[in-house]
Amino acid sequence: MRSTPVARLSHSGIGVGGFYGMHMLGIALPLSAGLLLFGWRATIVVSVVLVSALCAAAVWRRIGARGQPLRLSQAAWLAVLLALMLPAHLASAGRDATGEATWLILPAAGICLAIFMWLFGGLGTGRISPPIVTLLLLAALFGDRLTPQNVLRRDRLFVGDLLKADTSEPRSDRRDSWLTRPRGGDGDAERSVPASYELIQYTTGRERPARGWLPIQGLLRDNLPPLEDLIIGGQPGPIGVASKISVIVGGLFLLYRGLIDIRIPMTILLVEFAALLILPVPTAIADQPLWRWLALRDPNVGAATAITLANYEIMASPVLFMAFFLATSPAARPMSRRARWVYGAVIGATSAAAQLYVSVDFGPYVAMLIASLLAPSLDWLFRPQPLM
Amino acid sequence: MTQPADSPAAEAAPDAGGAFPVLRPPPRLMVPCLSDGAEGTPLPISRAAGTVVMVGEALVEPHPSLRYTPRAPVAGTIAGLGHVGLIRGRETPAVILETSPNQPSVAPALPMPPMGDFIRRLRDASFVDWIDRLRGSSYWTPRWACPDLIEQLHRCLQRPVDTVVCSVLDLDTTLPVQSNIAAAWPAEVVAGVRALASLTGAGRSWLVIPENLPDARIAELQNAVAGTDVKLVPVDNRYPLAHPSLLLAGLAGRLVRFGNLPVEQGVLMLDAAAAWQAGRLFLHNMPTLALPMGMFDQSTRRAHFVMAPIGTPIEYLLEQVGVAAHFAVVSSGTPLHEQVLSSDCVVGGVGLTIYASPPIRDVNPEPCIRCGWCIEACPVHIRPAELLEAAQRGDAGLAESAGLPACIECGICSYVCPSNLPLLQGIRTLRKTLPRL
Repeated sequence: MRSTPVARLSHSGIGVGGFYGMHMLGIALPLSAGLLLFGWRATIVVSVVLVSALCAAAVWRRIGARGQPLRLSQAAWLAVLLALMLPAHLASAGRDATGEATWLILPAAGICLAIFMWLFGGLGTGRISPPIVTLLLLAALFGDRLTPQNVLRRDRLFVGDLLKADTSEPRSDRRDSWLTRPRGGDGDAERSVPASYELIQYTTGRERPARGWLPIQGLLRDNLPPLEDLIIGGQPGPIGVASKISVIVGGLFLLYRGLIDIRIPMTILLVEFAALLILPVPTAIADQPLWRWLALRDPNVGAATAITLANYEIMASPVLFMAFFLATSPAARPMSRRARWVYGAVIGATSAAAQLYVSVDFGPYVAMLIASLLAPSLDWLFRPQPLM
Repeated sequence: MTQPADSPAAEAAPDAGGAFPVLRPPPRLMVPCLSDGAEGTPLPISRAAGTVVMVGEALVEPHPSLRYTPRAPVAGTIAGLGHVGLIRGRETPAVILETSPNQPSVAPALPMPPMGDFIRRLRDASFVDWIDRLRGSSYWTPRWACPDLIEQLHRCLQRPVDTVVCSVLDLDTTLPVQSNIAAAWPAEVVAGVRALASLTGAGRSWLVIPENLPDARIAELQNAVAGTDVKLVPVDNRYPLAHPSLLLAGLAGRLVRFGNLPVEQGVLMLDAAAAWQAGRLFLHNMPTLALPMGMFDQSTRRAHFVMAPIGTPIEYLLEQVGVAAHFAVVSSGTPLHEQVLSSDCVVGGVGLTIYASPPIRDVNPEPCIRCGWCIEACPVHIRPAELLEAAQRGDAGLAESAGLPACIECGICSYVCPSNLPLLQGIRTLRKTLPRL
């Protein structure tokens, strides 16, 4: 099916390539932050995923009618998004404990992305986000190998080797911040248990407290890093997701340029925050977790602690990245304005539940996947009312 | 405005106002004769070929199907009957008039009578008589931003109106024809509004002006409306607010579907040019023989304004203002409206704004990426992408639910679409194939 040329007297000059190009500008800040925090291995991850996705898309676009809507500009955009959701330690020539070469995951991710683009429909037709499906597939296949463990030391930003970590046990003292930690020491990177792991262990009640009793306050004080580390990015995480401040600024750029609709990220974050406060969480874990709805009403927890826990949940998860860069994707979100409120609310509520009870790292992605499947129905339910 | 004073197009005329130098008439005018029925209407009977006519003399025998009586803009000799182009490929019969050299195109102005006199005169004759007088003396065609005045007045006989709205807003602020008319002839514009309000019995008369009009022009208009019932209403003029549907929705909260007349919502609506035409008739008993035209040269980004005799070929007009050498496409309305004109179009059938553009770009549309920009940008909140889909499928139900009846064809959706989809063309195709919508 060839498109018929149309005569055009006037046009804004922004084509499909320009559209995705402007999105690329928005992602530049999280990408830069990721390259700084995780070094040259992050550069390799992004490059390999991008090149493999482009090559695969160039092949798949020639296959059948489904291939025609595939565009390289879209493939590039989605490949960068996918790369930013992966940890940088995958760029390793060595073999892991099972004897497999982890770097092979990267070209496989790019190729899978192109295949999913082909399967779900290219430009404008695919409701399901190919990067998310690819990431979830990789998570299902490779499990813990996608869990980030290291972050570069403050004095070894970009130039350091992420895999040259301090050989001692993961740091247990959570009170000092990555920003204020003294320079020097062994290796280029620091190892630590991701905050997302600590959170999901607690909120699912799987945590086994060392001293027989672990309230929320104890979790926040002893097991989790300072919140500013999560905001700035001084904690292990996926390349583009770790630095929340860069994600927020990149998202604000997209909002400023009118490329995304503020209704979606705003509703996602507000509803998720509210749901995190409402949904039952263990107020303390002893032999059994003590579950409580609306934990902020519990006198042993209080509003400040409950709100801090919700803050950690948001900052330790990729929800900000998902809200600004994935949920606002043209193919996934509904077209009508009223439907976008509902879409954002569905994602926020589902994401909160998925984060608390399934996975902090992947819960927001699953929530978005579910909501994007609902988008056609939401468009049908909330049709815009013409002025006349 | 940018017209040099010594240009061959410029010719001093007492009533043209500084904004619109009078264009020297071409050797041959094609005066259009618009009739009520588009198809199958009998051709008007022109006066015999070779008949010499004077300025303002009727060119055809009176016929009830004619929307107005075409009159000779200049003295000349009738050479026969031909056809001229209208917008969207439509044609209309036209009287060919060979002009006498050095004829002024516009009759000199008469001394202005006191404002109260013409209101008294209005009361002496019946409403129907005045409609006939308007029809016989002036040139009236519906424009994109000005519904057909004669048709509106006829409807007023059955359905009274409470408001007369005269819009001085320009759809394209780089080519401010309407505000220039109001600046050049404020008394005539206000007189036209007052007269129409008096005839229709409307209690309110609004002159809607852009709020960023220079203070001096606002002061002139304030002087013109001083002591009258006409109220100046400044608004923030952003494209396409000047369209009657949007203007009425914004000002009075009344919704008018595309193609319907504002009279159905109790409002008589006209633009400054129509008010000026009416004012000239009521004040001076002068028919409209020439129209103030604005031309925009997209290559040089310059605007030109002239007073052109009705029936002047557009090509001649552009040649006279110096844009003939490099234009490739001529369109009317606004650049986004994309109404490409045929080469045989003449002044009088195509609106008051002409755009000379570089060659049209042929672009290959991409698939819709569902960016939603068309929906975000649409001033009437419809879904243009779905309308294109409806046009491709010929689906009337989808077209209606996507908001086809509300579309004002402003062209913003096509302008912003990153996929270069022919959204406006799709909507126009739908309107042709599904006329009931």
